Amino acid sequence: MRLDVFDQAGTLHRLERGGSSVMELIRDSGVSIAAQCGASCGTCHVYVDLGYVDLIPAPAPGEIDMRDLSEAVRLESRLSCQIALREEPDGMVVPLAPGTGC
Amino acid sequence: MIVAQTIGMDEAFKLGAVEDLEPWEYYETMRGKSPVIWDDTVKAWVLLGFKECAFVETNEDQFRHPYKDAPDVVVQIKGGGRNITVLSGEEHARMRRFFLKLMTPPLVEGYRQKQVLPIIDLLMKRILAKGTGRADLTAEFGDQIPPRVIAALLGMPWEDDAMIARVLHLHEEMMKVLGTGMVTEGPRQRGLAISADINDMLRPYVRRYREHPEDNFISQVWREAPSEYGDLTEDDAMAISRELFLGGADTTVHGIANVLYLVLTNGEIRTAIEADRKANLSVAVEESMRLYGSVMYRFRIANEDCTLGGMEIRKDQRLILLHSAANRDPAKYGCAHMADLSRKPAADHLAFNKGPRSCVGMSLARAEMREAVAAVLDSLPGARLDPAAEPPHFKSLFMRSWRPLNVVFEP
Repeated sequence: MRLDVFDQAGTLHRLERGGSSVMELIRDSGVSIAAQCGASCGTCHVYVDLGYVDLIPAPAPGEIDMRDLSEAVRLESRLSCQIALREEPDGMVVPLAPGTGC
Repeated sequence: MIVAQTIGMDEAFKLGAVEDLEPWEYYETMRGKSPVIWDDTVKAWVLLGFKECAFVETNEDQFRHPYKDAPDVVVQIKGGGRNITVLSGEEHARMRRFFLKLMTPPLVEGYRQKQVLPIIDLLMKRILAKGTGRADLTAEFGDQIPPRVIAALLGMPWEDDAMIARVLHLHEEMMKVLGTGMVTEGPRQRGLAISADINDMLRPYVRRYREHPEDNFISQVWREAPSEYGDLTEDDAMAISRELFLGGADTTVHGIANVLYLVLTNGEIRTAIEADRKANLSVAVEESMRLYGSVMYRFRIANEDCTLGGMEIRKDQRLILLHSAANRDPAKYGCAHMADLSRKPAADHLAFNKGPRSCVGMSLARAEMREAVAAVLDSLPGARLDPAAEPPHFKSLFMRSWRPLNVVFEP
């Protein structure tokens, strides 16, 4: 399984599965993501490729509350700590949102 | 090395053994024995490993914050039952959302421009106006920034030097009380007295902005907190404002001192920042927090019997998460004692905690630290530690920073 992550500078990182969430995979691969709290800070904000939005479970109300506090929120915004990796479709494209770098 | 000469490494671990001393050699030796170690002097398990600290902090179902079932006296010391630190579960999550709404990235950028930069500019002008080419960058500069910024954001007179000195003193004293865990009568009585003084300082503004709201945090507490909590009493608004006051006024004081110390004492880091500020200043701030931190440890209590780091922890035993040790755990960080601007991810440390109680003001704190360094590099040419003045020491135990930072520069 693979995840294609574009960092804040637009560089593509092709990441292989590891960790329990999209956030953990991104963070543990050394891509710059603040991801401070693991559930409630909004610093792991990503955009999920629109083609994949409906293929992963919808955000819970708590995630929506936190997500909407993030910078540059869009329709496809998600908090990557809340997307369980085992549910990912292969090759999903995940650009990191502004303000998530560390 | 001060530590090796002073402390018996073969003796049982004591949290207080390294008060006013550089602690890291001691921590490393003790972590080598076990990442989780019993301290009989404080009757608590001390966690020295990153993995163990992060696990406990991100699992609040298994490890509760000690304020969850704190006695009334501790709740009073913290400012009341609506103080975010004494809330738990859904109530805590709701209060946290309210705080985060005050700290969104666009709002923090506004605070940086409207509060942080003008305050830093004023302080720097005062230093330059002396014309001596000397300054203590803790007392005259770094210590002055966070209490003035949070006072400005709360709608208090941030230009009032006497009030700011009192804010700083009271919150420093409060942090000493909190660092004890408040399990004995002495710290509790001291905490109550300090709490009453802070309340006296804050209450007139809480009353004023209830009647005459303006564009500040206290007015927002009155205006927006009721949407989460229903009717808000004056004591509720006080409790909420108290944590904004404490969080804003104190911990970043130490963060600024520590990042300035790193820049003043590590030529490689300073050169890298001067060569490419955009790429390197933010990482230097993270490395200073990892290496030195502000808050050295946090408390938790085990909800059930469990095993941590090979040790059997009993239900209701106290845990001390020693961030100052965990942030240099070689199992987590290569060359853990070195500042490394290529470290990724740079922000993966415990200085702001992890999990549902991570610091809501971290973005503002970072903005203050970055701008403090930038101002010193821009306004104090050639600033370096004054060889003729008292050198910096890593003082205290719970809240720690390198101070004083006496510098000389080209006037």
